[in-house]
Amino acid sequence: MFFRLGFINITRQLGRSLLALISLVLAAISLTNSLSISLGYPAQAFANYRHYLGGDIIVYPINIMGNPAASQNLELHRLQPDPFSTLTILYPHLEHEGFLAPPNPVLEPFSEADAQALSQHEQIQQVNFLYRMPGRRQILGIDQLALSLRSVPLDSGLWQYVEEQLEPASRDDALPVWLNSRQDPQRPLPDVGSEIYISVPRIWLAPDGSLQYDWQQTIEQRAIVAGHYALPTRVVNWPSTTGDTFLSEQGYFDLDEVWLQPQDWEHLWQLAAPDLPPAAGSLGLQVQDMSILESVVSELQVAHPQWTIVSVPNLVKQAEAGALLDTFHKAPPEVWAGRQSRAQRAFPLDISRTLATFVYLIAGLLMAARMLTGAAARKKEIGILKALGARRRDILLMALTEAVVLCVIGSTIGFLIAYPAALFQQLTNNLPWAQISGLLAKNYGIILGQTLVIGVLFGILPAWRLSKMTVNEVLRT
Amino acid sequence: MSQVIMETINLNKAFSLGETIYAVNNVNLQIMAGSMNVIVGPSGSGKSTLLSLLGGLDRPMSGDILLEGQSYRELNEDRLALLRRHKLGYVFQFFNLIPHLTALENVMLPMQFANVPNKAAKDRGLELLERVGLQKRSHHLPLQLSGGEQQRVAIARALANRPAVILADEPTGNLDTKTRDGIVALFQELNQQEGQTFVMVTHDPSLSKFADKVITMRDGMVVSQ
Repeated sequence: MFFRLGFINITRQLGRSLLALISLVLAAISLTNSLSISLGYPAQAFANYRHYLGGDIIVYPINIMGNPAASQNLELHRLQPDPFSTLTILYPHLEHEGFLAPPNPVLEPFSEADAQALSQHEQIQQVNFLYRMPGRRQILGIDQLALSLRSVPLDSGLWQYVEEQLEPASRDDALPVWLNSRQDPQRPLPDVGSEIYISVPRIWLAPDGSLQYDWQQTIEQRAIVAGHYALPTRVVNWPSTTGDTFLSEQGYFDLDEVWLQPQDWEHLWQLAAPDLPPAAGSLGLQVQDMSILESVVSELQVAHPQWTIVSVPNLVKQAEAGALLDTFHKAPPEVWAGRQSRAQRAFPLDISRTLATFVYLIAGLLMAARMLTGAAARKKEIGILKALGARRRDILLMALTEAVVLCVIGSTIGFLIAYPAALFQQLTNNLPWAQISGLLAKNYGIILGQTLVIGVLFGILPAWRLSKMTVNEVLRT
Repeated sequence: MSQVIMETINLNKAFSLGETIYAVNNVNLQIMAGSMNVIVGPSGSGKSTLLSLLGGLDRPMSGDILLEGQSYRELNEDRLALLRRHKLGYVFQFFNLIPHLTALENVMLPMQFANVPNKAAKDRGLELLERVGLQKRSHHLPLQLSGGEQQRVAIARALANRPAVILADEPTGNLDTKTRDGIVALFQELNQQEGQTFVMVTHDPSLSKFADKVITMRDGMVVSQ
């Protein structure tokens, strides 16, 4: 009965109920947007990484083992900057803190036989070689910037990416944004299409099978920059110099890597290592069923203990944990080159959460106002119900029904309005269904939960106060 | 010989309005089962306060009330609410029906509180509405009913759970003469034919006429009964 009275009260105060409902919908929309930005972001990053690294699973030519107690035969090594591997970028702590591995690990380049061995696994659809070599950019004959030179074949799909992300105009737009911890902003990467001078070391194979670089004997060459990788990161907001408005800009994470067309890269390789076939620094594996990605990784790691085998989602997590995608400072364009740049260091500000909190507060106040307006009628009704034998908990149950119904409807409508944008992004990024449905459930759960907490709290407090009064007090007022 | 169904023992209720005013001052009453009891007295004599205390709508400052041997003092708020639900019916001067429920739903309300199955509650509701002459108005909202009809619905609602005692606060105070006569006749019928116990606060001499006991109050005290 008290449920029914709660339902009736919603329709009885239709105008006020609609107002509270609209505010709850707006709050749910704000929170959905905020969540899909923050939760959808790793999904976007995952898709980008997958695209960039050439597969769903990446194989590196060195095993990094974790637990020193697990084996007495491990030694501490420090990862040297290795142009063949994104390990140095994604696991920066390995340079400082070191890692455990068998004695004398050898950085052997991957061979066709290795690719063949990996593709024996039934889940592996394709194995891609990632070719890189170390290089330095020269300006006026002096080495300026250490680079990794990567060969990008035309059919890799990355060219479309270059067109979209890295054409000169968009590079100019993105120029004021940089990653402070990884790249020197005073030495930005050369523009796509520009001609640069590069020096590369002599490369030779040591008797133990590892590649050696001789920087005493370098080869200088001209090359046209075909592209480089810029990972879109967060949209950052910062106050303008006048302070009266906020500006917004897409952030990018640049890797110190220059892409060369395959023929240019191979020409350089032949000059640097005339006796060696091109060496692949890592392998990208594409799997059939993404829902069992991690188990495939485990199986491969057991079968090939000499390599590090990591799934791209884990690399994304690692990159996020290392704050590679998040922590960067940006300066407004007008102070980019000036002395004020330090003083004007801006702060990343995710206003979506603040906005969602603000809208939730309004929704909560409207819920409270809905219960309090017409308080005399409410009081009388509660008084009558109590006189007829309703207990305090019955009155609260009635108010709770009203609040819960409004919150469930409001949060569901808001979620349905706002979530399709995030869903579209996930679907177009080929995220596995298991992950999409997991995100969907998680997001809805968070939104419903937060809406219920706010709505119930603000909706039930006035009823709680009224239910405390004696029947006589209520009826007299 | 009928039994005592309700009694008050040294009942006191005071309000602090600068000075302490006793609205109910050391009242000792006995209400017999099946009797019609009328409380009369000038305004401010404490009649309505006494009725509120008898109905468990308010708590006394001291003293106790027993209903069928059950002490009010021993009951917490929830158990007092259950006592109101099952053992008491209340009729107000201003009817106090729930405005967005139909006449039938208003009558069914106390039964639904008491978890009476819906079908049984509906049957009993219709039976009671017929008893008060409103069977054809069962699906009307209170606003669509006259004052007398609303009070009949309120009486039917008070009877719903077959209460031990019906308490009525000026039940004819807001009605015209003709309607009042109808309500008085209804009370008389319920009392005399069905043995329903009533305690009423009223200024209406027509109700006092057929009362078994007339309790006169002045300054919070019972001066005659």
